[in-house]
Amino acid sequence: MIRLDKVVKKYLIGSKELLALNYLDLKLEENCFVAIVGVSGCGKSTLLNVIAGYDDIDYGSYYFRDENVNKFSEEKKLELIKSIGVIFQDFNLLDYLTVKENILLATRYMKGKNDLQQIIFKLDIADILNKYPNQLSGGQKQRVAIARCLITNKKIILADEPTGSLDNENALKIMEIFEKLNNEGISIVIVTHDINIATRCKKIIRMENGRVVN
Amino acid sequence: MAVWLIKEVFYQRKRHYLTITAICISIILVLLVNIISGYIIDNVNYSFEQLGLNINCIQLLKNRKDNWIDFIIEDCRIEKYSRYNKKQERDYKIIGCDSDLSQVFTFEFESGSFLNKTSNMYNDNQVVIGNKLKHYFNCYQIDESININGITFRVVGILKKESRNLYEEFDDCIFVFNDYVTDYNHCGLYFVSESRFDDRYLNEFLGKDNYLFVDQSQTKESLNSLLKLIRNVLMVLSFVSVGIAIISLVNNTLNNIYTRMKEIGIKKALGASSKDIYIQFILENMIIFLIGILISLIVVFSVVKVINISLKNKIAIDLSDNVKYIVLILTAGSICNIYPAKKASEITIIETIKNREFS
Repeated sequence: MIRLDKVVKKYLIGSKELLALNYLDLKLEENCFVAIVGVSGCGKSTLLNVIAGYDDIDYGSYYFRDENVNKFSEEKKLELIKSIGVIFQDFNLLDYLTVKENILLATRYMKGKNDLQQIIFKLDIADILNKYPNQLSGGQKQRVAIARCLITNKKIILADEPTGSLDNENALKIMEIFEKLNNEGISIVIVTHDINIATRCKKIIRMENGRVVN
Repeated sequence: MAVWLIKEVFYQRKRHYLTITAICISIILVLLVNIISGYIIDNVNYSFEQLGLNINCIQLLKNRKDNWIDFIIEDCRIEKYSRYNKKQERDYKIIGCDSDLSQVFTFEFESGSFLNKTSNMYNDNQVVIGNKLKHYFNCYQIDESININGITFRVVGILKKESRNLYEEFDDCIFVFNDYVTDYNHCGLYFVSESRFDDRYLNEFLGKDNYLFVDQSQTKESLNSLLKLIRNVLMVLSFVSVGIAIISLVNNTLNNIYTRMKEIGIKKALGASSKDIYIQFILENMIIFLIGILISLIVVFSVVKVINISLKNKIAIDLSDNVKYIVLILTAGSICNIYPAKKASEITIIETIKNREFS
């Protein structure tokens, strides 16, 4: 489903060049449930941004469903972005929209919409639909962010430190949701430095200095 | 889509207050200048039309012993005329008139009227008085008698308060038959000429600096061009304020791009294309402009309504005349916002992520 061959991503910090991804090779299968772990600055988030189509690579190849992303036009790149759901540590909800509006925001830009009621039931957010993000707990916000991914029928969800801002209890609830979603056929890729979270995934990929080491 | 946009503008309203205020002030200025100056120009022209465009006035500046007015009337074959006495020696001004006077001036009467052509004001010793003179002569209704210079006159008309023509107010004027006005040294002459009066004759007859000649069409033209000049200057100033408002909006939008990076990033991550973001910013600014226009229209209509309370001739707002300015301002605003909207649309998701990491 996703294959990266010798991918290099560099950043310029001042006059210094930082190698965020260092000839990285990675292969992710359909319906995978993977945790990418590693110390801060090892390139986890960069890898996620590359997979999500947010960032371009400097060298190597990125294949998404056997198509070379390097050769994608702007429209095709947009399609890639639309087909992958991303969940962030800081939830990325719009403060001026209600929970329901935040969930439906994605449908403004994408055709095809899943059953809202089913998602609401699945994520247990029925009682907060008309609330604003600043009235929610961290766990509730993250469930809304997941619902926003599900409403447009994403088959891949990338999560960058999804439990980073949550207490243990809420973190476990989120992981349970991910497990359920994976059982329903959605591929989940989680970037985390929390080994307890990582161990709940089916596969753990360890990164060091921009490379997959294990 | 519209509901989303309005909600987004409403959420950002605190950022837009200043811009909307600037837009409102500038549009109000443009519309009020246009409406009020148009009203003034129209009213002046209307007054000229009411008075007749061909009324001229000759005022003697130096004393003469001859009956100069009669010479002019005869030599220039003036048919419709009205002599008048300057007020300086009396509490009232006597204006001579004949049966054609109503064609020389337009009057509005509180009571009575000038008698028609067949009447003879001379034989009947009839007068028409200005409104203030009611109190002076203690005469509050027509058909009462008043005494002027030892001669008794019957009042046949009392003019409305603040009646006037281009040259003077009639409140302290008495209109009598022309022949009563015989003090030629303190006399002036109103007369009608079918075409523009050539004052070369006056130059030769009265001497270059000995008289004052006022040609009404000339007065109208110079007054009109002065009013138009004032109007144009005010319009330019108003449009400068529109320019400042637009710059303020553009600047505000550019600043907003950086404070709204998170929003742009989220939307792009959810699948919004650059075009979606571009259209959103353009439409948002149009909504801000439309709000400004709506508020301005309400203010302008209210101001005009308040002004109209104290006006005899009401100001009418010609929307079709003002729509072109509104469309012009809206178009200019939209064009100027292409740049910030384009800037916003060019922001990438990764830029917004990096911006959050460093902020």
